[in-house]
Parts: sequence; C-alpha cells; structure tokens
Amino acid sequence: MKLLNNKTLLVILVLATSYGYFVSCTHDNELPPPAASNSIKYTRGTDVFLPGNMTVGNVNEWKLDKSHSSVLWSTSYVGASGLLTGRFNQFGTHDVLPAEMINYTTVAQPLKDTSWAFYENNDSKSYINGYVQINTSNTGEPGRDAGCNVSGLGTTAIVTGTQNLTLTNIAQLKSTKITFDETTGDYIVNLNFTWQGRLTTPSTKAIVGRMKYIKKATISGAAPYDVFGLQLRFQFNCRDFGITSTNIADKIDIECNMNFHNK
Amino acid sequence: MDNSFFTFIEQLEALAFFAGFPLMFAFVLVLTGKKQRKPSAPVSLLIKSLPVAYALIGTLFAGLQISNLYPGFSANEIQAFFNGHWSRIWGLSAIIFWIPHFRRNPYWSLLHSMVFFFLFIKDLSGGNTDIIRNNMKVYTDSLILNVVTLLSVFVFYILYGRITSADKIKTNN
Repeated sequence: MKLLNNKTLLVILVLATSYGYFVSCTHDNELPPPAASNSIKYTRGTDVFLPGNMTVGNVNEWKLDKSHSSVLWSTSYVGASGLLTGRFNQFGTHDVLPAEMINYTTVAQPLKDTSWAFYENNDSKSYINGYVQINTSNTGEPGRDAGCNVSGLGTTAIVTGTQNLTLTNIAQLKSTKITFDETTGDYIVNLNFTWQGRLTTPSTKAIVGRMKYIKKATISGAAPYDVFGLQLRFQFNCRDFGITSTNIADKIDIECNMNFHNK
Repeated sequence: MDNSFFTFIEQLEALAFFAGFPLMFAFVLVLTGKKQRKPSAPVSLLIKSLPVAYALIGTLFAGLQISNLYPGFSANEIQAFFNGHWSRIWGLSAIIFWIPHFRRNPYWSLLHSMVFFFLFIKDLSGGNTDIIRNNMKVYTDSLILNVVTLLSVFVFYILYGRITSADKIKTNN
C-alpha cells in the first residue's frame, strides 16, 4: 500500500463512484413535462359580407334568404319534462326604430334586412340587429299559437296580410360587441335583447350568445351564386319579461339560423 | 461461472455487502491522517474498527447465505451451493478477519473488498445503463451498511474501552 497513497486511493475510488452515479442518472424517475395542449387554435379567413342596398343581381350585396332561414325557440315543458319547441314565422335583420314600429300591409318583408355586417377577421366592424314578430310563434298547434300563446306573450292575434311590428309584438336584438373565440372558431356575441312581453314597457337585458360562421359556398347551376350562414344561439329568462306561465321553464333557448345569398 | 441470472443476483448480493467498504476505508484513512497516536485514541480506535467492521459484514453475508441455503444443509447441497460460486466463497472468507492475526494490517481487509469493487467497476464499463443504475442503488445501500457497521463497531470499542478502564481503576484502588 506504500505504492498507493491514501489520498490517491480515495480520489480513484471517488472518481469511479462518481462516474457510476453520473452514468446511472437517467432522469427516468422525473415527472415528464405536462402534455402540450390539444386544443385547436382556429384561424380565420378574410371574408367580408355586407348587405349594401340588397340590389338584385349585385353579387357584392348579400341578401337575407328568409325562406331558408329560421328563428327557433325551445324550453322545457312544465319546467322539467321534454322540450317544447317552436319557431317564429316572421323575422328579419333590421334595426327597427320607434318610428318603424307600425303595422305593414304586406306579406313580404316589411323592412329591408340591411342592419348587419360581417367581417370574418375584423370583429369591430361586425354587427347584427334583428327582430321577430312574437305573434307568429308557431308550435304546430294552431289552437295554442292563436289562442293562449297570444295572451300569454302579451301580444295580439295575427291579422292576415299584415306584418305587425308594433311595440308589443316585436322582440329585438342588437349586438354590442362581437369577439372571435380562437378555441372554438365561433364568435362570442354580446347583445341587448329587448322585449315588452307582459310588462308595461319594453325591457332590455344584456345577453351573451355564440355565433357560428358557416363558410361561403358556391351553388352551381345555370346561374351560380354564393351562400353563407350565421348561426346565433343565446338564452334568456322569460321571467324578466313578465311571462308567468308555469307550463314553460324560466330559460328559453333561441337559435337563429340566418342564410344569405348574393343573387 | 456462467452468466445466468442467478449468478448476476449472487454478485449483486456480494456487492451489496462489500462494494462500499473500499471508499469508506479510504475516507477514514484520509480523515485520520498519518500521525502516530495512542492506541486508545478515538482515531486509532476508528482505524482498528475497520477490519472488525469488515468481519462483521462478512458475518452478515454468511447469515444471508445460510438463509438462502435453508433448509438444505446436507453435504451435497452445501457443495452444490458453493461449487463454482466464487463470489459466495470469497464473501464468506471475510469472516477470517475475526482472527486477530488478519486484523493486524487493516489494508488486508481493503484488498479483500477490492475484489468486489473491481466487479462493480467491471459493470460500470459494461455500458448497460439499466445495470449501472441498479448497481449504483446497490452500491449506495452498501455504503450505508458499511458506514453504519463501522460506527457500531467504533461505538462498541469506545464503550468497551471505558468499561475496561473503569474496572482497572477499581482493581488498582
């Protein structure tokens, strides 16, 4: 052992041992880093849709295709049972001003559906306003639609050949802010919902909805044209508008399927 | 000796008992230095404890081998148990350090244990990370076992020294 100094021996042993610990340190016991997010980040295109004056034949002016659009509602029947559903036969995308809240003797759209604009990638420029005629609620049961529904919703019965846009018969919505949601590809829509219902004066409630943009597509044929859609969903509490019927739940779901074309 | 799994396990057992001894031995010698001290000084007792601790570890190893052998203690079974298994035989031979003659030079216990340390080094150079990692765990256990054993023997020597010195004082009075 004289050949091998104690310190030298210690150094050799420590080095050999350290090498062993170094090589064996594989980090296998360490927790792996958290998995990357699986959520898809949506990117949007640059489509722009404007109604203009809705000039027929102008492919740059988009028109509401009312006959292929719908405003649907649903709520739980007696609050806990299956859904009670219906639709509004008359609706439009027009910001109805007080002066325009009158009866129109026509079977066509009483006002131009021009109160909207949609910029796929510019939320600040997008907006949408609309209305429904309450007494055109259609559940498929004429006895109910022209009966208890009329008084229950605080309105008057349909007059044939007349579009009733009076204060007590319309519910309006106006978007105040539209924001793109990168995680779903939808648009979050802040809107004001105004309806008188069974109150003495109209009430306005701030509501948040979700709008889906259905991409533009070309319909082929002798005269090809383009279509696109906006699907807006939101909820409101009918008790906020004086609806007292216990046959329906507080919460009413609304789905607006708006299709547009450029014919 | 073949390269069977059981041979590998035997070597691991031997490593677990003896591989940590050389490093501990070197540490003790470097820490205590080369100064001449009284035989009863703690540092001298610590160096004196090294081969005894090694013998004690050999005894523990022997106990493990006996438990492995149990209940086949016939001559044929004992012969089969040790035949060709040099790591067992070499490990058992550590009990010879109970004999005072072999404890005179502590370096002999170091030389004895270096056989297992070289085994440990051989596996390190093998390059198989899984084996190295496992060996390092066993080696760490061996270090702990050796340190605890040495401290136990050291404490025993100190207590024994105090008791015997107290007896001598009583006898002289």
